[in-house]
Amino acid sequence: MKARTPLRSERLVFTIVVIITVILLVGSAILQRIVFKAESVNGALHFTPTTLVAPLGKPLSLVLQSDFDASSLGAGIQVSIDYDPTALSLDSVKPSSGWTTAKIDKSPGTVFWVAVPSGAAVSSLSTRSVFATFVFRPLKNGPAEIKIDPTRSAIALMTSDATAVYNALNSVQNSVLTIAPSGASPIVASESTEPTPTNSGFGLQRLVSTDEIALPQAAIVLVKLQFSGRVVVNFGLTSSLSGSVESSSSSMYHALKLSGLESAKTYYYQVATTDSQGSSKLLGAVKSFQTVAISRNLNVDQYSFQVFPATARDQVKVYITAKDDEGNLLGNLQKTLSLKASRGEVKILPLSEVDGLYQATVEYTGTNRHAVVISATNGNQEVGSQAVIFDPDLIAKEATSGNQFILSLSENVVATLIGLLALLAVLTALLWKLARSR
Amino acid sequence: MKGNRLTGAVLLVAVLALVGGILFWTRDDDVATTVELTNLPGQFCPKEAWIVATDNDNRVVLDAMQQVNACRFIAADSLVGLEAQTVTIKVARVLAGKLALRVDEANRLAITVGDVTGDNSIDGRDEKIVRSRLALPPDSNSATDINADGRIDVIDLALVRIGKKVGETRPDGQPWAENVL
Repeated sequence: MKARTPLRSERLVFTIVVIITVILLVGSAILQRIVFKAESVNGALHFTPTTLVAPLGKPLSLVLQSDFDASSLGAGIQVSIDYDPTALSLDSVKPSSGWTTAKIDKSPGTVFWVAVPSGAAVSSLSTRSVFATFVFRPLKNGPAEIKIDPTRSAIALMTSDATAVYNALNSVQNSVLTIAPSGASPIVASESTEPTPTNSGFGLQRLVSTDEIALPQAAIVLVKLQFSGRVVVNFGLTSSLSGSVESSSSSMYHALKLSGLESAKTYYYQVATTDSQGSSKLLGAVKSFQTVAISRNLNVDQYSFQVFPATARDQVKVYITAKDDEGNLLGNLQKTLSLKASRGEVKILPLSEVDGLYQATVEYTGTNRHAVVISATNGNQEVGSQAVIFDPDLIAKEATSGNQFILSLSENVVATLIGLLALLAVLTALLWKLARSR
Repeated sequence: MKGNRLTGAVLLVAVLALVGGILFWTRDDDVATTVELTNLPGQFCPKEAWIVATDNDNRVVLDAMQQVNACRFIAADSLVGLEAQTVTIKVARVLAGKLALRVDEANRLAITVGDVTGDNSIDGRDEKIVRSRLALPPDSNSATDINADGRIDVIDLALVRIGKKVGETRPDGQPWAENVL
């Protein structure tokens, strides 16, 4: 075997060090630009328990709590609650330790309560935080409901970089009570610390995300739930939300089309879902979007590219819109738009276009769990790309686990970082081998 | 040996070019002298700001109301040539802030909103007023709707509680004009 000359070895070491330096420089520049952005936290506000049998005349304590998708810094909470004043009366509201009441307005059938951290301006919140205990007194036998009004409720959180305060309230859930004669013992729905679909009705169902794609006379609302469930989207030109669309099946992911809309108008919508027993309702925040017009312009100012859902068993849909500089949709790109996938076990069905929305179905024919990057181009122009996880066993996992790990970083960035780390590992191994050979 | 040096030199130049390219890619664009207001909450959109600029000897070289463009950019061209070193800025309902001016660069000033009483200080009195107005509809010129989102709620209260401090005084010790309080 021919020994490596010192000169050649030094050159190799130098080259490797240069490559590593360049990778680190490029990596840090990418990280600086892409990764370190403050992620906002979402909160789901509800009473615990959400379902129970309460004895008539005896005080009934309900704990107001919120589930967050990450720990955060709380700066305040306000909640507006409606209930039947002939069935319940509110005795007291006791803030949790570390919180103090800033304002409370009580009238029969409604209470508006605001609390802030005691002493300091912000307080640390865990992923499940308790804000107060509301003590009601049942007044008559029969069903009673306690509703949280999402339009008059808010959770003030501070961003991790302490530069802004925002409303983290993403959804609310009402509580359903059955008031029984005073001799009856209270029956409280048990709550598990580990959420599963079988107990998902008891304060654990969550609206993970809602998004919309506005079109000239329609809109697509994309909903992701924590657990499988049916979804209703109420919508309208005012916050009274006169229209409604319901999902046809129970699923974690829903894409619902709102039809018959007017062009260039602001619409409001609210997503609602019910638990597996249909007894408790989860209401999302009221959101808005503006319908657009079709453009005759040929120049694209910006694209929107979305693959939904991001995790699927064997099929996802790609939604693409192209807008001109006035925000109107371009409807003449079908011949130039093309899609491709990073794996061969993926079949991309032809793109169709309706009212400026280009959509295509992507099918996965593989048998193992794989991440697939789906990307689109318009001629030589990059439209967008998104990683999707195809998992043929997804339904079985939904039925046994229910817990979903949600990445706060996009899969693209994670994949890039993993690639860089792998490259560094290979180069380190090369260096190690070289050192040993000398 | 000569070849080795040449290879090293070529690699060094390549690395320098790459580093230069990365720095160029991540640089701030060249801009005229501007002052950008940052940390604006919600839809808070100031239209004008009072600027007091001082030179090296702490003499006031500019004392005037300036327009705020796109809710955050104050054109500071009028400062060029005045040898202004520091700039103190006051916007209505915002604590006055000070920055060392850099010519031909984008200067940023993080603002603190929540001065409801207009005394250039955010304190318990501001908090008390916002508390009393919670859930009430904001009037047309409501100072209590801190983030200007059309409702007075716990977000406004939180902004006041977090922003408690005193703003910068005018460099000449004079009180701020009524229209910027």
